[in-house]
Amino acid sequence: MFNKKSAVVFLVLTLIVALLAGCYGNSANVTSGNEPSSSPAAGGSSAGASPSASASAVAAPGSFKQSPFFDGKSLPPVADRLPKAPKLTNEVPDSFYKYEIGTYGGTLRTVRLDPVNDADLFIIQNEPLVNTPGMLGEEVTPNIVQSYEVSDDQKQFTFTLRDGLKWSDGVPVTTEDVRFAVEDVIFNPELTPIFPLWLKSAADETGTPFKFEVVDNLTFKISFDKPYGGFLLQLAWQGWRGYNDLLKPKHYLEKFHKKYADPAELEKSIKEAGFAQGDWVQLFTSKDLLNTEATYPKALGFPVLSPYVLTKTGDVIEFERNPYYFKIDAAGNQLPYIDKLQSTLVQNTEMVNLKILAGEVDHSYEFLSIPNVPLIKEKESEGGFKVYLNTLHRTANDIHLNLTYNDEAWRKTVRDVRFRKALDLALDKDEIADTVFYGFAKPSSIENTKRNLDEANKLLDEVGLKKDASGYRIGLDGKRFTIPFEVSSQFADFATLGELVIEQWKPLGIEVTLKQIDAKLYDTRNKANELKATIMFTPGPVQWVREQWGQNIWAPLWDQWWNSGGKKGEEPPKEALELFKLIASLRELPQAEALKKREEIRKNIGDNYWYFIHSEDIAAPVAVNARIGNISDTGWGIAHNFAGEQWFFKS
Amino acid sequence: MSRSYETSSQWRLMWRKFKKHRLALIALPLLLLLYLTAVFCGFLAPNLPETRFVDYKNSPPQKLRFVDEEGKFHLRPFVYGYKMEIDKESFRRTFTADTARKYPVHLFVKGDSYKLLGFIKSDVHLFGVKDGNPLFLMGTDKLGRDLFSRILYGSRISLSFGMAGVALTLVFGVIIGGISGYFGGWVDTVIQRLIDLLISIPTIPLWMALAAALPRTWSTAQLYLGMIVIFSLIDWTGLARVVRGKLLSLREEDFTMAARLSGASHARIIFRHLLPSFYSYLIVTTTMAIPTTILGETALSFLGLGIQAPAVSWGVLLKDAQTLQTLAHQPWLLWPAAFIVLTVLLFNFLGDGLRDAADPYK
Repeated sequence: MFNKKSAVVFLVLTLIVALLAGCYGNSANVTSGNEPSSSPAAGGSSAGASPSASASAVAAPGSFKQSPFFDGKSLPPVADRLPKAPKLTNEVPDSFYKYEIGTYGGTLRTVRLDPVNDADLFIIQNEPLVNTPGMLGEEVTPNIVQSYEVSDDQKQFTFTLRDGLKWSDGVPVTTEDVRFAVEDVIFNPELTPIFPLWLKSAADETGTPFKFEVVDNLTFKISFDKPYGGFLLQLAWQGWRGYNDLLKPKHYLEKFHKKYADPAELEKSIKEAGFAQGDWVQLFTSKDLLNTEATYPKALGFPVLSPYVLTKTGDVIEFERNPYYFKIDAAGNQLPYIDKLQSTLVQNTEMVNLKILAGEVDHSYEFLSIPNVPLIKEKESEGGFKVYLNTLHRTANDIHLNLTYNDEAWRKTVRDVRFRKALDLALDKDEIADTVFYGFAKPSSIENTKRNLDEANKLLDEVGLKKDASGYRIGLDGKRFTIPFEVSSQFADFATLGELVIEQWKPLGIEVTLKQIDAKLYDTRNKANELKATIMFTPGPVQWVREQWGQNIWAPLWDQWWNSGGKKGEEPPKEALELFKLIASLRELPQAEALKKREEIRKNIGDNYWYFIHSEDIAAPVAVNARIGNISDTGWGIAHNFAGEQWFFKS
Repeated sequence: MSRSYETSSQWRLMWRKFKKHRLALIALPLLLLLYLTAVFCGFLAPNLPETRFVDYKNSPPQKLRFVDEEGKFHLRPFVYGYKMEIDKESFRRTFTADTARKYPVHLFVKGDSYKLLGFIKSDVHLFGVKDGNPLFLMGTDKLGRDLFSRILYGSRISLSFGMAGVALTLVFGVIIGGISGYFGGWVDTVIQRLIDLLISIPTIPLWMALAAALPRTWSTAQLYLGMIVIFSLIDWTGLARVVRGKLLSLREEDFTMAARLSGASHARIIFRHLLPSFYSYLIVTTTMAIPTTILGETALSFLGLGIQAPAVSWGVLLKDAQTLQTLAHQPWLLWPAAFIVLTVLLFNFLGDGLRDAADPYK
């Protein structure tokens, strides 16, 4: 029923757009959408792009265009809704695809398995203060802010907001919103009992919190007492930060904040929301929208800066375009091109596949796995969708042995680098790539051993693991040495890999067992240091700026020690400490040096086999409507997802 | 009727009656065959369940051929090797028979070594191809393992599970039902209400809850035993009711009174005098309970709550077959389902025949 309706709406919209395009005569105008940008890699003081210059170079004021969706909706003209210097979109580098000026209209349909969270839409909605095209981390460009400046010593960061930037309800964004987010939320111990690590000097537990200064209505400064070169990438990338931590709509949230709200009104709101008397913290938290909550019911009515605004929740979540969105294309069209988003809740991944096959999904990244690609691909022409094989922005399933598990004999064995090397030598990485990834991956270049069972067995003999009568190796405690894998049942490929590893390690005489456990149980057991061996992906090997090289999985206690500044957990040995320092040093360094440091991390892991990274260049399939433009199979799938505001439906 | 009929023992009469049930008569030897297969799976399977043919992942079944590509007939059957290609367009693996590689099937072939019955070491397989070449009559799974061999090995857990589960059920059922029926009074009331309670809980969720409660650190053998206990804990109720009902009526009979008067103990009366008078019912109920237990194990393993890979049972094998992908491109992965259907049907036929035979005087 709904589909028919939306199809009609879409048809009408397409017609209007086609007519308009004819009038303006810009339909064939194809140009790259990159704004002149500065790179912190150059080091030293690097001012952001001069916004007025870039804007005028692209489109003279007054020639901005809006979607016909807004026609007759009694809104101010589009030029007044956009900031004085709108952002010329640059979500992906030119190497990904040649940017096409799109046409307005249509609804993008997705599916999700979580009642409130749609990962595909959440990524589209994510808008950081500064961004890095293609998520590559190679250059940092202004996004929500108009420009930024980094001091020579990498300690002070100055940001200037776009003049005339407005929340989705039309209220201007000023430094007062930043001051509110910083002073009244981050530095409010009631709302933020644990100060966020990434806002301390060099994201170090022992570091001091940042200093904040409002310069004028549009400019603010963030400074640290130690160099923090990685701060910009923290803003652009780490953990899908978005703008939400440093920029909050004060005019919406102040009525839930004790400092600003009228006590009687506040108490009334608390009562209405069903919280205990005086519990304004709970009330505020329930109203404030975090970066990860873009599709949550509380986003209804919450002023945002993202391309879309939530209009309906429930099993079907709907978004409409944000009239005040700050991005334009080179022809002066206000983004996004697609008018609406719609996310439907389904039972399981099989349903996702069925929906894709029926042509009822316009974009699905999160739940499509390689084994399903042939099936989806088969129906490509009938279903009107297309499967792109991009690359995965992380590894898929690394093998971890817990080096800090509480068992002396186990520790002594697995902490012996010869033992870990032996296990790595026994892995047949080509077979893994072929079986687990259907050939859509390459053996990793970090730990690049070729399978050699003789050498592996020799190493194990050296470690002192003798074989018993039945050919199994005996541990240092005199009992049979067993590696018990417990893997989360959330990802089917973990078990496939596990079964394969059991067989590949069998010629070493090592008993390996495999158990699938619930995802929640996996979490608890991992945090409690109860997992001896497991399989889990890590972003570090692929996204160089990320600090997650699985330390919390292959050495939970060392990781705790490091993150708590030595208060919890156990102190890592020298070689491991070196790795932890290497990884942390990425945050302090300016980009060019950080990229070099990254090689040292790879080498350290390659020499020490802390955990087994068997594959790289893993394919990430994504199924999209065949008519969607501005998408390609170059780069990470997630980077294309992130650039969702640039998509449009070709007629 | 002849005189021999009148003087025949009860068991002989039952056998006669049973023989009249055609389906049951066919089911009995077939079931025996299935169980023998499970016992001697190492010898009967051409491959080990964990042997991987790395070039043959998700490969369709090989055809057993007698006529080669030139139309010549061979008395010794053979299979062709497969050539695997990944279609660059559709990303599918396609397998085509490679007529250049012909592998004749031999009897009593030397292959991978296994332990028959768990202790006799051997490397002779009933049939197979030589030199470790691939033979998979029912195709392979995603790791390139022979499905036929895996089904045979899987039958060990699946088939024995039914037997072992029901044996334990029988013990629980007879003891608790016996106590309830023989003693009567408040003991009976308590036990009967407990049974009411147990019956009222929907079985699958209860199984799932109990199975989820089994410690995840347990080994496959422990899990297996744990699951048997779970099934028996729930399944004994039906049997206990039957036993109780029978005992309630039998304990009023004269021969019970006679035994009691001659000073026989309770246990002796129950097990020597009362139980033998309804053995036949017990056998029928038990036979009918076996397929339910087998299906239960399959269901739980299918849901990932029971026995887990790398252990093989039919349920575990079917777990691989629950995706859309399987139905579309690897339908041979559904073979274990055929074995389950066959086993359950055979047990139902047998049970049916036994029920007819149970009361030969009717």
